Amino acid sequence: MENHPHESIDTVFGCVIPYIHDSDDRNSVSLVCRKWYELDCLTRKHVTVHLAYFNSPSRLRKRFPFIESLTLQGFPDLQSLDSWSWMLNIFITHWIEEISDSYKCLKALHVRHVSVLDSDLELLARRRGKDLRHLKITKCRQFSTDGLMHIGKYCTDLKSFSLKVSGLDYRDGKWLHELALHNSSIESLDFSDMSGTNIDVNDLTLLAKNCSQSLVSFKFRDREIDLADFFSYAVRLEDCHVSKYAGFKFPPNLRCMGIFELSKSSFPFVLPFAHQLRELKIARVTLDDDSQCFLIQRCPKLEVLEAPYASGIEDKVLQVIGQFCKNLRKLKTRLRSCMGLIDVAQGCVDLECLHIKVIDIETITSEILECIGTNLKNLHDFSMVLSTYTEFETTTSSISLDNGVRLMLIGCSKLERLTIRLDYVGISGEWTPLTEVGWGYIAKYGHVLKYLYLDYVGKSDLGLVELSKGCPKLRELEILGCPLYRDNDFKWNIVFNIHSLRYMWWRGVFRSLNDMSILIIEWHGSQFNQYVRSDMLCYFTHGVAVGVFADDKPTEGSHVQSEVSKGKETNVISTPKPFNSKKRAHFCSFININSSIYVLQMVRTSTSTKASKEDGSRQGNIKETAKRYVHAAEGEGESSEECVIYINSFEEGEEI
Amino acid sequence: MSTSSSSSKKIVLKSADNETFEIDEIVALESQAIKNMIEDECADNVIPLGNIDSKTLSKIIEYCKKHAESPKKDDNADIDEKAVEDLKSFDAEFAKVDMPLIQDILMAANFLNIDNLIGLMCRTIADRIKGKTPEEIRKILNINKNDLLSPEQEAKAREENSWAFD
Repeated sequence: MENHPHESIDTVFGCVIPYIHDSDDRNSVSLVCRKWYELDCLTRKHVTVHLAYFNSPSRLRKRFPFIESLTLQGFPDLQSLDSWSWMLNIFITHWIEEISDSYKCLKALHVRHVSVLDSDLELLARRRGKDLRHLKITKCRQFSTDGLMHIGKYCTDLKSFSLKVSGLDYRDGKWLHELALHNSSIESLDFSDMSGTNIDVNDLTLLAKNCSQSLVSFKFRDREIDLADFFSYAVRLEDCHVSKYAGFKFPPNLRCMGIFELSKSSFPFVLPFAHQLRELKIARVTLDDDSQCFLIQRCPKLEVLEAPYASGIEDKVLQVIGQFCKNLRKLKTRLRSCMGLIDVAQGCVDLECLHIKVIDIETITSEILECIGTNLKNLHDFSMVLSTYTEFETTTSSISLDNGVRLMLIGCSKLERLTIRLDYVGISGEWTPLTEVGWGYIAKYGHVLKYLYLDYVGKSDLGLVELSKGCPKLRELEILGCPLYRDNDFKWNIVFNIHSLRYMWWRGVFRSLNDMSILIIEWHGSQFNQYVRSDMLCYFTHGVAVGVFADDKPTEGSHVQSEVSKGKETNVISTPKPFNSKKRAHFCSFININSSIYVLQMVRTSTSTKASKEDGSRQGNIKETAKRYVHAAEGEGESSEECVIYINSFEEGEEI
Repeated sequence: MSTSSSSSKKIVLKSADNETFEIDEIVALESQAIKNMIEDECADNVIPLGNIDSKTLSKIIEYCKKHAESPKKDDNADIDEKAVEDLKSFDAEFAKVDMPLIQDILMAANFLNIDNLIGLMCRTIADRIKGKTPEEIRKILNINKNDLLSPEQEAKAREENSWAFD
């Protein structure tokens, strides 16, 4: 049967599509033909939406009417973006409204790096609470425990709840009480990033009591709370990360363990479980190397080991890891020297993720990277940070890792994520582990690289030129501390040859501009054509957030204002292109004048108005507000707080 | 036809090109569809499989034989790892055939309702189109170009795919 009639290929595909999980593959098959497009639409269960590029909940629902799991992703989770991310507000109110009304199959919601209001949580909980099984809130801002209270009260059949927030507005502990009171089948709780939030231990105990048959995973960081009662109920725990261990016994089924400090006092808690452990995370260690080896030798089933303690792990411990932990898939640690890495690479050949911080940076060589390439065929995430004990140390290293990176990339053909950072503090001189030749190798051999983070590892912007010649799948690029000469008719357009690139973050040295230091850019692939040669602002045709920071640039405010209005003419505000006019577009400009920060963010929408807290009193006249702040940006030097505004209802055609 | 044990009951299958295959009932029972026919007592004579050619059918029988011989998981919780490995490598070898045959086997397995084989073939196809572009996928699966998305639809889907969704 050489020629397959239509019906049979459709039957074939109908069978095969449940086996295609990878979103890239899903995206590819959706373009094969009409029938497949439709099948993909009907069968896709999970979608991650990048809100900077796509902000239409109704369109998403039309395309994928039966999605069960949705991730709303704000800006990416870049290290250097952390301190600025509070400015990059993306509100999700209109998503929550649509989810509440129409996403009937949704069981799992994950929101990341977005602004969540208490009213969002309330609406979600009241309308969808009974159906939600999984809720994850990661690094979101603007909400408080008041909003969480509604989650606790109305989400009555949660299986997993993860709250990773550092700046939660903590008002009271009612939310946890409600959660414990109304849920009886929670399997997984992750509060690992919540510290200092005065959680009432009685509520935790109540939760463990009500969910004692279901709770298998619990992550909690508070060191002050006594968990003895909690553990008397949580008997089925398999995955447990706590900071304080005294006065209780770990449950017998423990497979994954996270402990704050491996010390003489905690050692006896860990040891009885060693033989069954799949996962071990240790933040600090005060035991000698021999005791560490003793423990590792008793953990033959270990798949994940995270031991990033500051003192660093010794070569002989690494040797033991390579010898005994044959199932290891993930290793994150800090090394005193790199020599032990060879033992790990040769011993743990199933490693998929390897993150190392190297203290003695002179021990890293190309041969070690080559050894990783030769042995670790499944590696898809490699991160190497070269740092020193103290910021005053210097290095005389002259080693080039160019060739090592080449050999590693050739060997590790599945590598999707690559990080090479030089902790530059205190490292004097001009040494850099990669030259533009190395960047060229990354381009040439990084066939499947999606995420690339380079920090102080380049000598000139020629590296960027090299990089732009390859990496056909690159999505995120973060380059810090690498020189960029914008004078010589800089090669922005060259970078934009990488059509898959979604986010880029560059903190370079704009030598021609008095060290203007931060630039954030997002764009739509090759569509980038509006790099305004302004000192202050640049933006793009697709109405996506763009901003430039200047450290100490005394540019006149009128110039800023003219750039803002230029934005209107260049599609940023008036015709956001990626989708039709009902979608939101973002236009942000970050302006820093005389050391105070001005933020202007406009989010156009055809739906409701929802002004942020900071702007609570100013909802009335949006036009007036906008005018005021554009004027403020002209340089009166108000304090930064005063100058933050958000306009969330900027009707089409409206002008400021 | 060979008889491995005289006591076991035989089933005769007939392919689209009129070739007959006599197999042990235990092998035939790997197919849920044939199992149902046997249970309903409509498998007395030859079972005609008018949509499966002999090349495909012989491959399917090869698969069913191997799997019927292997110890089942629910029979014994402690089946030795060697048997599992052995079956795994058999499956891997079995799937090393060209794409038209894989599709024929999948269609036939779907018709005969042989769960494991459907899964194996689907995983094989999913593996072969992994990381491929839509154009490459069309080529691999020999997909007719009559049913393509309109250029506007395609442009829209492509744009959403590349920027918005993971």
